[in-house]
Amino acid sequence: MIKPGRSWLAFALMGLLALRAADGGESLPQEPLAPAIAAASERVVKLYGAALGREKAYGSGVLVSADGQIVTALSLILEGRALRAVLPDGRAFPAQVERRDEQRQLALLKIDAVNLPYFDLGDSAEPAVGDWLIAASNAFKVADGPEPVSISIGVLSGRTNLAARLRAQDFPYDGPVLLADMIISTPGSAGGAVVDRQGRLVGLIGRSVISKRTNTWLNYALPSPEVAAFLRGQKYQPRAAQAGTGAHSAQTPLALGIRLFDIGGRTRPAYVERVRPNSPAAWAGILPDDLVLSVNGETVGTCDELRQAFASAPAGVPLTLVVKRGETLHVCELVVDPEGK
Amino acid sequence: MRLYRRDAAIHLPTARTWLILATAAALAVHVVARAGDSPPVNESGASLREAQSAAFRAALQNVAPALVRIETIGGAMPVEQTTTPEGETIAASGFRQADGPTTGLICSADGYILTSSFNFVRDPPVITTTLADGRRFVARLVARDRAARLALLKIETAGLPVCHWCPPDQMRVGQWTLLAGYGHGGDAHALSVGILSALSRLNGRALQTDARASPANYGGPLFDLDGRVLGICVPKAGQGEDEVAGVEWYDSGVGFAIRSDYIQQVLPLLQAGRDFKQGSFGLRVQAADPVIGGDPDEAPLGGVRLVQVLAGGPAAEAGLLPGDLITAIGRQPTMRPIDVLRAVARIPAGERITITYIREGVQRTCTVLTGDVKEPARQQHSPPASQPSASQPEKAPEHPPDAP
Repeated sequence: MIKPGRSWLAFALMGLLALRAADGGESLPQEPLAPAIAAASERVVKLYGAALGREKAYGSGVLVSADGQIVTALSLILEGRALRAVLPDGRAFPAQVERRDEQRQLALLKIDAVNLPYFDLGDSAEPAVGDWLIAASNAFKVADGPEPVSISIGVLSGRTNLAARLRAQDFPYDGPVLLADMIISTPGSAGGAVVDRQGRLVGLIGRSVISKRTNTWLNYALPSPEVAAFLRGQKYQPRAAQAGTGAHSAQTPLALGIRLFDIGGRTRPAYVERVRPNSPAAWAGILPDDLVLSVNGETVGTCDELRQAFASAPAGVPLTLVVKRGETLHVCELVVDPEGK
Repeated sequence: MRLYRRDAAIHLPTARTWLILATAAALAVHVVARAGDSPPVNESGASLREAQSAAFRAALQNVAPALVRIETIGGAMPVEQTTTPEGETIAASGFRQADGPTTGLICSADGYILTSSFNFVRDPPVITTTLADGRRFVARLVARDRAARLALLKIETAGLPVCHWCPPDQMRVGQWTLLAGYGHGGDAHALSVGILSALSRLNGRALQTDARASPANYGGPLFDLDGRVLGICVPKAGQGEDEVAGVEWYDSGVGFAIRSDYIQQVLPLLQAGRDFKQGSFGLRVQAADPVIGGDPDEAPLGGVRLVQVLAGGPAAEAGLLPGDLITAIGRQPTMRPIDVLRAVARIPAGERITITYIREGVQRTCTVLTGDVKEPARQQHSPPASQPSASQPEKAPEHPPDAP
């Protein structure tokens, strides 16, 4: 059954089709994303290098200047001697690594070419969740020679701060990323471009990592402002380190009056065993047998995570704890004594 | 229980309105373009893309008040396992399988929350929930349906915004379907967009979508452009009965959501605090052959042939014999083997169910009291169903039946 709204739509579409037909059919209706796809295709290069270990010796990069500056994700192919960048027109250039950023896991390459199309990073836009995005990359190195890179489309899923592993290691970058609703965690995709409908670079496809939160390969891109900051030479401060530098409180639960029930077992939820009278914890109303669930909004699943959260909390700011008492939740503010007593 | 309300969805300027406006705009642009004698323009298509994005956001906004972020504390910590070249299974390293939040959906104003049992494989002692308005509650795990990978939580409160269900007769293959979940962390949910790929999968329990289903949205809703919920997203794939089987299909373009009608059927049982366990019948039907089973002309009697009846099993107790032609289970006609599988998938253990069958050209009925199948979810190495024994109730209908 067609609802009134739907039939309206159907008639309108038919009308549109009729108009198109009246054009004489001299041209196919153009894909509205075609200009953006073209812009991305012209600005993404294919990278090839010597194989090292089991790492696949190919990747992607984006042109960020007319004279051959290329940003890509760090990978082992950069370590090989025979690093080559193949432009969309099929021309191949030897590429030099100019700069590396271990924190953002990015690298700046240079090829000896001029008058190249490139992404203007000052032109970046903030896409909204649900906006269509286009990814362009050398996924699976299926594009040969002058063939353009592979294009896929999906919406912006959302944004989050990265919490990921690269093999068994924690991934150093823990800042904001764009979550893409398309598969861009594939071999060779890292260093590729994610552009919006206007063809503006909104993000650079990052190294293939496993999300700690979902234990799945994450389809994400480093937002353009982070790429721009890298190009300006700005260092990235990991969030964990940010909290730990400068005015950092280095609090321990014990110093604030909380003794944790921390014995044995593989999982040690942060249960409070005792509260010292006349301590910040006592003033905050924390009671024995409370289970601490979060510190300043970060979930703490274990005693160790609680200690980390206390240690990395900013100095001089009250700690907000959510505790479970029986079947209810309570919010407790621990006011840290400025003299550290 | 009447849970479908056509007029229930909160009608913001909805998806459909957006699309209509966009089409109108597209028409206008086209006419202008013709008048101006400029080359064929992209604006019409571009505004359609914009309208789609606006529609996705409107849909998300409609469903968001009923979305719940779930966090679990403690419980067993499965370690990731790898297989050595020698074929030995070892613990890879000590890290947790995944430690992000998961997703649920409020289905009653007094605090019942539907989610996936996948999110509680560790049997966590503490479950907390954060509602869309930021309020946090301790939740209780009320019951599970391991076969459908569903779980029901309860929080003690009232007056919650509830989801609005889309009845199956309004679902169409090819329609836009969206997934949303909290699994990637942060306060906001992540959106995935796709279409409805199939209406009936996994013995009629599930819908299939090509939106990216993954631990980021298991337990969350599959919803349409009006924000109506078609089903609950769960991991499920192939024949795997392990509780996490199917996760390996994450982000593959083959995702499943348990159908709203199945959920309505099992919800009362779950709300009563009882796990849904599929009842066993102790019978085996003819092979699901596309010709024999599918074409009414080839099977003029219209029914499904019983090829095996487990001695002492529920079907045998009710007097069914091999060779009987099953024509209905309860009120569900069974024309083909798949109908039998779909019918039994929704019948819990311990239920009396009328089976209509034809023997020697005469239609008869009998009443089967379904048995309790050993919990399928936790037995990792179940014996093949082709070797039933008297002590081990057969669970033949779970599998595509084969003639023994």
